[in-house]
Amino acid sequence: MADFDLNRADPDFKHAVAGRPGAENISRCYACGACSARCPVGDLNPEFDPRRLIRLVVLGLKEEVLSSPLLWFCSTCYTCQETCPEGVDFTEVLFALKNMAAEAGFFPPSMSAQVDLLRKHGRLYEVTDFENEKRRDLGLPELTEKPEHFQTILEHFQLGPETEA
Amino acid sequence: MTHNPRNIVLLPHNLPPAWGLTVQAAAERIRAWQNVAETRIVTRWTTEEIGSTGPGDRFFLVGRAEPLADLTGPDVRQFPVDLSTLMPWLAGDPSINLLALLKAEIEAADLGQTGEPVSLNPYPKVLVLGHGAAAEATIARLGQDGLETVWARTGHDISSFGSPPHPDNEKNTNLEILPCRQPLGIQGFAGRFAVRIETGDSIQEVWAGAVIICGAEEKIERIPESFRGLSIQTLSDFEAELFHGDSPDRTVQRDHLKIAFLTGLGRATSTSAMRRILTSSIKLAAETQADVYVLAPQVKVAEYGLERLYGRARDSGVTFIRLPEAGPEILSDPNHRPKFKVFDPLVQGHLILSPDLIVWDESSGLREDLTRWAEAFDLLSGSDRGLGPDNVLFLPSLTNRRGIMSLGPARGTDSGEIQTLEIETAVVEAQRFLTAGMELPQVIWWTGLCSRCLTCLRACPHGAVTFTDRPWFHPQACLACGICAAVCPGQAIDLIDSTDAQLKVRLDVLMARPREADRPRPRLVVFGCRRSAQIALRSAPPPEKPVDLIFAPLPCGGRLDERLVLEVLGQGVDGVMAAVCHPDNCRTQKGGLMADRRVSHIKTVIKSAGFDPRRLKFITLAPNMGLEFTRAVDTFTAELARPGADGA
Repeated sequence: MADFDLNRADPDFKHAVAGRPGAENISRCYACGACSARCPVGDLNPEFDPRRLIRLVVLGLKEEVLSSPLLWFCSTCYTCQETCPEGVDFTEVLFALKNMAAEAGFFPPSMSAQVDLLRKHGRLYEVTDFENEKRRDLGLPELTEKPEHFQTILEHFQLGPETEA
Repeated sequence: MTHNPRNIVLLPHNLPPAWGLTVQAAAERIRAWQNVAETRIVTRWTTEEIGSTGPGDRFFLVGRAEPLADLTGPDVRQFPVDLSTLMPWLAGDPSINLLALLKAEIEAADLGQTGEPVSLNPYPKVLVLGHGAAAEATIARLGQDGLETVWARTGHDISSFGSPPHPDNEKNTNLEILPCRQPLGIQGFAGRFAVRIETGDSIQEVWAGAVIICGAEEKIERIPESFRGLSIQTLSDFEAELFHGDSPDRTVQRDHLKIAFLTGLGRATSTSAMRRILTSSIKLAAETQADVYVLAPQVKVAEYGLERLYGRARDSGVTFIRLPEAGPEILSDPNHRPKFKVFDPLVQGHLILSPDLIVWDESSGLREDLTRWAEAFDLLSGSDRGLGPDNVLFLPSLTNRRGIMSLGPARGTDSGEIQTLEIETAVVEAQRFLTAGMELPQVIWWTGLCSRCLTCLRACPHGAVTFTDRPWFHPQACLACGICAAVCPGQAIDLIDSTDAQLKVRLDVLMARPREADRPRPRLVVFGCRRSAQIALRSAPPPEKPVDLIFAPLPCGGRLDERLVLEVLGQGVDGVMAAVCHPDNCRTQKGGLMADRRVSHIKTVIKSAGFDPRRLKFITLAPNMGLEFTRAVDTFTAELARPGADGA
């Protein structure tokens, strides 16, 4: 069982999280656990517990939260958000936390793989003759890859080629 | 019996098929019994359908748990025959048992006792004990109803406790005020109490029909030994500095100073302390750079505005940490400041905090004076040492003794909204005991069997027994728990509707059920409280291994009789289980506890006689715990089957 030293915690962390769009209501959480009870990801992996993540944020345990791989398990089904009686938008809170994690340098390899796909193909999969043949059979126009737009966006957010490493 | 009332059996048209008997066949067989005048088959249980009643008629309502509100008439009595004890999986031969059990109920009704009515001549006065806001408000409320009131006022200087006298009390002509240093003792019953109080220079006796103990608001400053070495300030001192202090460079201005408010150690957190803490913590969070923590066993929000304050505190960044009731674990280190260690169930880990300043809610110390008051009035204390048991059924102001109510600081709470409810219920309750009348007893006493041993007097947890040349059982003070009847060595006491003879008639029918020759199923007898186990039984699924289960309902766990248990064991059953209410859910407060003690005692008795004590088991249940009932039966049969258990 882990010990959490509050004297080493960052008391401003919860305010920083609450400052992000969508995460404003985080302090309303009274830990009823409705989100955790209905979370389908939590069903498969009990370690993924929205209520626990909120509690860690409120306690200011920044390092534990941002370095946690659990942040990236969310399937964004929004069930927690629909369920919360206090209006805590947990899915949005997680977006905020993921952004903060990325800024702090915690970025899982699966995510950089997705960024690479975007940069190369402009979508999350490569368009090949196979797809276009199918489209022709269905009377749909062919697709061409236009990765340039995404490359501009990714450069803007400093998600350039160096993340490949 | 000179007068023979008619016994009429009402049968539901839809007799459960599992009983293997059509209602017509059942009606025919019952009509043949000598003690039954007629049977009627009903579908909707309406008065039209049930038909005529005659004076003194006794109706047996088969399959019903409750009496019918509309079925009335001169001396008409109703006996609901709840057949939940005959669930198909319980009964070896259900059809026989249905009729046999009904027969036993009719016999038991014949054996029922009523007792002579007791006349009540109460003193029409209420004694209020204590001082402060709760006492002032209670007296004002009694004044509104024009009730004669004696106020035994504790405390020497009332103004120093911050609650001004209630204006109505000054012009109340029905109010008599006595100074009171402390109560010394109480005698009598609800309606006729004699309370001795020490007034300072003498001892006085006050006669009253009801007593309302309000206690006193006071502060007790005592910081636990283990907190030595920590920087501590009392909440009052801290408030004085925070709200009225004039030094601009207070230490709290330092960045990220960790300030921890601590409350609720040793007793329940009070709403008034919670309000003060929340207000201070909001101000701190808004105006300083401090990191504010509130450590409490509970965040109390059950009063107007507290929920909103709690929300504001959370929004301004105050962190709430739940403490165990015993307080936080203290990690001491000679080179560093001591640290708090608290398990947080949400993060599934321990939180460690070393605060720069602890703000100690000094009102949360233990109240020793209440312990003395509890002794003086023979009252049970709750875990927070307030007067009144830890029992939901005794909230908000009842104590274990009828006619004595406790509220406000005497109860362990000390704030406005809750107090209003406590006062209202206490005043309504007090009025029940102030009017003259007649009351039927709940207990019958057989003079020839009584040896005047005083066991009943000592055993009664409700102060309902007193003694002259014989014991007297006060009907208004009695909660009908049956403890006196069960402990009486001479069997001189019986509970109305649950006499020894009645219990035996019911049990004999069930015990007479034939046993299989090779005995594949263990036979268990469950003595269960009517209010919990019997209701749980209705929703209990069949046990894993078949069992021959006999359920004997008791009015309360307190009625569990050692003689009866030993008799049943002597008839060769494999195990006996007592199933009663949870300790803090017992309507008589001590019934379940007494059952527990008695089971332990019988275990020692049979062990010394060379039998296996595992043949006895004690469990507690809530009425909705049918599944747990069956699980307990399963565990019990498994235990009995293990080698060494001689019942197997």
